[in-house]
Amino acid sequence: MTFEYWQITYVLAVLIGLLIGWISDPWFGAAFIWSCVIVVEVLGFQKKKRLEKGRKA
Amino acid sequence: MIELVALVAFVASFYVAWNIGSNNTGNAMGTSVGANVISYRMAVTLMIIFIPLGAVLEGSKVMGPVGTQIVPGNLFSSLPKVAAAAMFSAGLWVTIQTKRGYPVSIHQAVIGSLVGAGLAIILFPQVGTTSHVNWVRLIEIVSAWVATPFTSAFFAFLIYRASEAPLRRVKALEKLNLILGLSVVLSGCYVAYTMGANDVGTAMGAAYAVSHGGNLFIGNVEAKLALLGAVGLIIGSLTYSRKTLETVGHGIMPLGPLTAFAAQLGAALTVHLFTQFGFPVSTTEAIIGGITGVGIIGGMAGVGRGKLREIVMAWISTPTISLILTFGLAYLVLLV
Repeated sequence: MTFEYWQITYVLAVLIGLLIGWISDPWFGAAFIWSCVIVVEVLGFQKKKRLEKGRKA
Repeated sequence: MIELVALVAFVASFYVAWNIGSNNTGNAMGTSVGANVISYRMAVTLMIIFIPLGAVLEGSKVMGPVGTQIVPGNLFSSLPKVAAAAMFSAGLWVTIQTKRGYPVSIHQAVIGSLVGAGLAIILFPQVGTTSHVNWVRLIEIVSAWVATPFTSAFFAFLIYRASEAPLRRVKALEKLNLILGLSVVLSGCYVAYTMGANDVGTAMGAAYAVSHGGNLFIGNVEAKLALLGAVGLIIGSLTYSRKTLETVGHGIMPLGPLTAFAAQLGAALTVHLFTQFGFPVSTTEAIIGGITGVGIIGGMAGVGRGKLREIVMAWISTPTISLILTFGLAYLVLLV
C-alpha cells in the first residue's frame, strides 16, 4: 500500500486538529482541519494551473 | 490503572471509527466516483470537510443511546476492559470484511458486540457490577435497521421520479451535466454529514460510557469524543477506502448521475431522520437501499442480484459473529 503526499498531509492535519480540539474547544480543532484542507486544495489548484500554462507555452 | 484501561477502550473505539471511515466512504462517495462526477481525491476531501461538521453538531444524539441504553452505562465505566474487548471485536470483523471488499454495517457489528459484552457479564458476574441487556431497546434498533433500506429506497424512488421531469426540460447538454454533477456532489456531502452525525455516535458510544462514569475529562466530553471519532473516520477514509468505494460505485449497478443523486439523497435523508431519534442505523444499508430503489424503476435489470445477496448475507452474519467474538474475548479479559 502506497500513499500520496496529499494523503499524508491530510492525516497529519487531522491529527493536529484533534490535538487542538482536545486541549481547547472541538470547534477550533475542526476549524484547523478545514483551513488545512482549503489551503492544500487552493495551492494544488494553483500549481496545476501553472503547469498547464507552462505546457501551453 | 483504570485510566490506562480506559485509554485502551478509546483506542479500540478509534479503531472502530477508522473502520467506518474505510468502509463507509464507499457508501457516501462511491456513487459519485462511480458516475465519474468527482475524483477519488475530491471525494475524500469532501469527507474531511463534512464528517467533523456532522460529528460535532449532532454526534451526541446517537453516542449516548449506544453507550448507555443497550447495556447499563456504568457497566463500561467500571469495567472498561470489556468495552475495549467489544470494540476490538467489532473492529476486527469489519476489517476482515472490508479487506474482502464487502461494505458491511459497523453499526450491526458494534451493537452485536455490546450485547455480547452484556451477556458475558451476566453469565460471568463480577464483584460490584450488575448487567442486563435492554432487549426492548435492542428490538427497536433492529426494527430501525430493517426499516432503513426500505425507507431509503422509498425516498430515492420519490426523488428520482420528482427530478426526472424537470431535468428533461433542460435542453442544453452542458447545463444539464452541470446541474447533475452539482446535485451528486451536494448529496454526497450530505451523506458525509450524516455519517459524522450517526456513525461517529456508534463508534464512540462505548468510549462515552467509559468516560461518563469515570469523569475522565473536563469540558464538553461528547463533542471531544465526537471529534476523536471524526478524525478516526477521516483517517480510515484517507488510508483504506478505495476498495469499498469501487464495490459500491461499480459493483452493484452501473450508475448515472441522476441515479447517484437520488440514491445518495434518499440515504442521507433516512440516516438523518433516524439520527434524530437516537438510532444507530447503517449508511451502508441506506445507500444500497437507495440504489435498489432507483433500480426498481428500471425493473431491477441493472441491479447485480448476486452482489446484493452477498451483501445481505454479510449483514446477517455481522452482528452474530461480532456477538460471539466479543463474548469470547470478554470472557478472556474477565479472567485476567
